[in-house]
Amino acid sequence: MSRSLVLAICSALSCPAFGQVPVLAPDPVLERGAMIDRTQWITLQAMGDQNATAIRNEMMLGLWLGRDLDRPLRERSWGTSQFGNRFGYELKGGLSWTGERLGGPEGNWRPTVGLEHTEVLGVRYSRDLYALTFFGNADYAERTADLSSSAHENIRYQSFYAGLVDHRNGRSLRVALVKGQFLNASDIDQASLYTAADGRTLDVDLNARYWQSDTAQLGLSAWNGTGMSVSGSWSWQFASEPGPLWLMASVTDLGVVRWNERSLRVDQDTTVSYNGITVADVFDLDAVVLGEAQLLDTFGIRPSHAAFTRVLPFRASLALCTSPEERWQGGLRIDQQYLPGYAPQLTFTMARRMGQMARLSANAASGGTGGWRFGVAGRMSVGTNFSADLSISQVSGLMNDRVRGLGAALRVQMGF
Amino acid sequence: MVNVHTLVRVASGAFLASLLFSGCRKEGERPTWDVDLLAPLVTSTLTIRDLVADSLITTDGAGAVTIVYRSDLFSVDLDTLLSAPDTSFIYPYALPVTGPLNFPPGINFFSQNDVQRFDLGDVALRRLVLREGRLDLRMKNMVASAVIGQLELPGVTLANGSNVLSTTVGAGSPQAPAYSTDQRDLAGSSFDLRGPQFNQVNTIQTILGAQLDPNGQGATVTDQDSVILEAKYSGLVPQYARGYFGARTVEVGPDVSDLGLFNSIIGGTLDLDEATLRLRVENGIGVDIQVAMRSFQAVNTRTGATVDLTHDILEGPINLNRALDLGNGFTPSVYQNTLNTSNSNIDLFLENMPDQVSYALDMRLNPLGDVSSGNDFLYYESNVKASLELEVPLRIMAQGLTLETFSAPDLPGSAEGHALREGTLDLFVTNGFPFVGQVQLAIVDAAGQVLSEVPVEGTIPAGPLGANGLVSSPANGTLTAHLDPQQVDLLYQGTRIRTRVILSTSTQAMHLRILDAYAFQVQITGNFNYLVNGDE
Repeated sequence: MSRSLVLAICSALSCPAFGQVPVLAPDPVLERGAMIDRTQWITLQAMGDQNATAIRNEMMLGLWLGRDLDRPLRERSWGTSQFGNRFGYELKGGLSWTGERLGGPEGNWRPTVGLEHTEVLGVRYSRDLYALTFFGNADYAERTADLSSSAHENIRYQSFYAGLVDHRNGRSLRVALVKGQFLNASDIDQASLYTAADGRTLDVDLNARYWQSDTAQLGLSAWNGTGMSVSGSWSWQFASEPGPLWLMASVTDLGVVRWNERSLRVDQDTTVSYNGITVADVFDLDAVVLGEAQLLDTFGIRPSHAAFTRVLPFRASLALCTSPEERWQGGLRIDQQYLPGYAPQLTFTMARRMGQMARLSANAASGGTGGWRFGVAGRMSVGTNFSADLSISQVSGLMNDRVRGLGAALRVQMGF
Repeated sequence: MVNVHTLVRVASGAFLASLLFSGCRKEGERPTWDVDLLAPLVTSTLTIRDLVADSLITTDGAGAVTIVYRSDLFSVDLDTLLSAPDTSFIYPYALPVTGPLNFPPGINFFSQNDVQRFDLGDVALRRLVLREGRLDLRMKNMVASAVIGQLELPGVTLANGSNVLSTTVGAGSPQAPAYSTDQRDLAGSSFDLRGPQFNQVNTIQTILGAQLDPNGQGATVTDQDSVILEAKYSGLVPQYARGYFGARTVEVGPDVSDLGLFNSIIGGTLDLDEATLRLRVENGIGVDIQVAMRSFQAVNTRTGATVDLTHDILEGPINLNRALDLGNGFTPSVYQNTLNTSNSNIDLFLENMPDQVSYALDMRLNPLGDVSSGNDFLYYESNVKASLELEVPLRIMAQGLTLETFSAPDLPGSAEGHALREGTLDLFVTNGFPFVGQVQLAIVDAAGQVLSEVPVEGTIPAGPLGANGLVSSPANGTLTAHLDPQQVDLLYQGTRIRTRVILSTSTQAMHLRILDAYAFQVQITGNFNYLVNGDE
């Protein structure tokens, strides 16, 4: 088993699914075969997914596992686009309980409560920024590195939610209390670094903003911000041949977090020409130590500690699916996430039901934080109390670490 | 040393980039990769005032620089000229008859006038005021009654205005004598040492008495019973002394005095066009003194070379008049002599670039005898001290003048893991001095032993000279030094960087003037291979 597969499965098992699950309407056949008659059930979800337009999996793995990244490896992940490079990942894990129907046997709405951990990174960067980071600025002598239009957001938060869900019709509404654990984000409108010949001058032109939550506490127990969010989905059915078409809309984690007063914010619009530290005696450098404070001072960077509010990286999607009554099913979805580096993602799914207990599907997706991906997914019910979903977002990523994108999602439901 | 790690962050824009990629790593294990960083590190502008302390520099109207360096040479203090040894006087009493005699309480059974003389050698003091001192009174009693002993010093005025000291000792016996000890502070006491007739020196009169305790029972005394009073003067430090201090010779040295003017120069030759040394000797003692200089030498301890000063003062004695006593202080007499290139070899003396001056001399006190009729004096603050003032106009020729400094690099990381792997340092210089220069870099251990030489390519060009012998415009040059990975590793092993700058004037045909306006500008840039997350 390749290390990539191990990582994908471990990621999935450790954390819940969203981005690359099959785009299909609720399947009444499968539902009848398994969970539909259960009064209540518990759902455990885990998902890990990363994607990139230029950075290959080998580099992501190297970064993740703390490996040494040799130069050829870094060159293979060097994008060709000056400003269109993106990458990101999403890790989720959650546990929920769904109770018995409200409104009697004919009602479809059920109560649900749960908790969920989410970590998201989205990055938009210029080619020059990648080069400076992974190769240094020596090759930029007498040139300007353009770092503009770069941004990132890395956020970790936990949601404690309650709401109603109608599985049969793909409808839900839930409200969550959000505990903000960690935030690190930047938005660079304009930035450039000019390296003079022989490195005699560095000219920095920077117009950027930066946000950082309190770093005194970083672990899972850290409560550095508080917020609220709502998630919901709705579906409509349209008559069609051979079966009705489903139109489904959803929004996830639409809300804000108020990060506490110990958070740090930098709002910088500066131009600096740096020629080195000025010392009194060039032959006596013993006492010359430039600390971070002096450095920030040199560049006129003035961080301030204050509370601020940021919108969560919510996601909105719209899907059109064929009739779930058929053995062959299909769906097309477009989604967008409020995250730097995330472009509208289009996902197409083809699926075939295997009897009344299983279904296999294949996905093709393009967009998000990367390019094209081709995945597979399966769902199986075991008996009437247990069902599981497993999806792989980029099958080739399991076999070849030079492709881009890799992810897996696992959902287990147990009824009782 | 410059914190390269921090600079590297500037150079690479890692401030932004590290943010972008920080979220991608697994906690505890950090990915590493190497980057090539190019950044300015240090800039500096040096003038003569950065090389020599401002306080040592004077300039004339044309901006020509002269170094004026002052240093103390030696000082002969009070303890060399006058010392009062600890002295004890013992006053015994025993019944002059066999006895026994019955003494009633309160009887004064012993009274004695005495004259004692301090042994001060050739010094004959008539008056002494003490700054510090102590008198211990110790009494031994074999009489069977408490005894009150009394010591009166007619020529002495104690700090409290009295001149009587007393002590009481308990009853004793020949088999078991009783003892008492009493101590008095003599600071501020004034002693007239002319004796009872005011015609002697170093002499003190004492009147002793002993009385049986008036509240006691009296005592039966035999010739076996005695009383012994011991007066011990110790720790005497004069505040003021008057008398005749004798005709004697005090040897000073051989000794050395440090000279800091050439401390950072470790080699090369220096040719001075002109130099002046002003020797100043102050006599704060009320004694005529004749100084005979036995030697005065410039010592360069690095090369081992010495140069003897030649001048008239080495040939004959220097006569120092006595200081003037103002009653509550003194005015020293001052002797000055100016040595220059026409009356001495002071240029050769200085061209040896001494870090020490070695001297030896004899001081003859009262060479003509007691011409003051016993009115020599000194105060606690009195001394004979010599200082020198060097005045060196910077009109010089230099050949291979080598300045040396050591720097301990303050680098991020540790010997086990460091981000800095190898690199090249470029020194861009703009030289307004009329010196050509070379730079030598080496990594040395704590003892200064060279572990690795760092080759430096290029030289510092001299500013070109105009027709007036002054630099007409600065000259630009570049020097390059490469640190290989092994040398970088060495820098993490408690080593130091030794920097030697070797300077020569651009012409050896004439002395060149150094102007206050000359400046040497340098910028150091670094091109490093740096391992991101490589610091442990």
